[in-house]
Amino acid sequence: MKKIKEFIKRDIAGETVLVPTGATAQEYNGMMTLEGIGGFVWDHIEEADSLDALVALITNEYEVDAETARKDARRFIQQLIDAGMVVPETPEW
Amino acid sequence: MDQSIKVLQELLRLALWGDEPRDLKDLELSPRQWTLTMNASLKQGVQGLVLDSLERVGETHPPRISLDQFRAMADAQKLVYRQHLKLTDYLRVRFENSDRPFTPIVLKGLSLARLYEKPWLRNLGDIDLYFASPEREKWATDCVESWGTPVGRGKCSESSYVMGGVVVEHHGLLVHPHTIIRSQSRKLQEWIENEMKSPDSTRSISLEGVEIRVLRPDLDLLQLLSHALKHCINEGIGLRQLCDIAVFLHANKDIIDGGKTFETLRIFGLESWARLVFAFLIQWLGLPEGDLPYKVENVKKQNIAALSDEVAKSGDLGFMDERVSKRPRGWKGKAFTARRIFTKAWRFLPYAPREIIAWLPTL
Repeated sequence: MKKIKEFIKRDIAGETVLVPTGATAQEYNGMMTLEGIGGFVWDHIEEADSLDALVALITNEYEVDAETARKDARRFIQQLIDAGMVVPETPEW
Repeated sequence: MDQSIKVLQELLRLALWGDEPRDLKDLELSPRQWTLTMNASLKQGVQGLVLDSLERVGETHPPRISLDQFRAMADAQKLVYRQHLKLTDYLRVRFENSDRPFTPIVLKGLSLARLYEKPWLRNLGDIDLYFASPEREKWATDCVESWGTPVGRGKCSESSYVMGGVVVEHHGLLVHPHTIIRSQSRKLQEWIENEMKSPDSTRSISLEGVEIRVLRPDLDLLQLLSHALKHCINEGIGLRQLCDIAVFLHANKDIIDGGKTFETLRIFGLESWARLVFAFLIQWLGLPEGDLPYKVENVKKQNIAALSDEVAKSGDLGFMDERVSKRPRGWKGKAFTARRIFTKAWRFLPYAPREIIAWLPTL
């Protein structure tokens, strides 16, 4: 999965926030607050080459079963794709 | 002093300095007196501090309903606090990553809230960002407009807009010196702009992961006192503004340059006003004398009493000033306003002559 927009990730008072910069700032006027594992997924989305790999990273980091992690990660990634923030690079996604 | 106000004073001292009440029996009030204390804390914008103190002493609670209301308000304040943190950070990142990178300087708001033990318990209104020159303020405002946010522009290098439910104000001028001599006003603005060119005019602090740029303490105090005076002779001044100055002096006592501070306040004609405010902070809020940037003497007791009276009547920024609500209609109303203005002017003339003389013709 490749990030196609410029965002700076900020950790503020226990919340993870994405702030647009550069050309992206011309399209997005606002910040995005990531909840739950959203911040972790955003950090690792480019290093995982498939949803399975991402789920493995999540279950290593958090006490969550693979099925729940897969469901949450898939829903979040779909939101990122819909928002034009990431694009799948391989068919495994 | 009325017992309900005496209790408010004790509770504020406990919240600010950890000063335990000499006797917990002093906090025993009738339900009616407690209502007066709680209402006064709301009027003064210090209900968060009062709640904090009441939760510390535990035993002598006011009627439960009041405390529950205050807790609900504190929860709401916490949400506002988090929104301020996020927005301040957001705006900093946006301006720093723009075509002319600049870190805005945070005035009041979070830069003061951070000095309290529980920052979210200080009421937060708008976010005030200072851009150190009218030209840069205009640039920053143009930036915000280019993001698609409607902005209202003022006449004195200031603008405001709403973002994320919070009012944000941009300022190009640190203070608005009120003087009838234009060249003097210009000189004072140049003095500030020159000071702002110095690398030590600002510093960076961190609050809950948010990097906040704040002014050097003597410049910050100049802004705080000037702002307090403006409100005092216009709408009103409450304990919230005075608690802010007290915690500011306490937090900066080891780093503020007393000589420089005195000189800065003297240049702006605010030294007498500062003397009165400092004396009030010591006498009313229990600020330790050693926290002042320089020694203060010769403040008449009746003048401190006059400021106390004004604070009690006007409350937080004068929003709940009962005198205003008693204004009659018609010509009697005009006479009422004129009397109020001249009473204030006369009362504070010795402490801010330059400001008062320049202010009266603008009415």
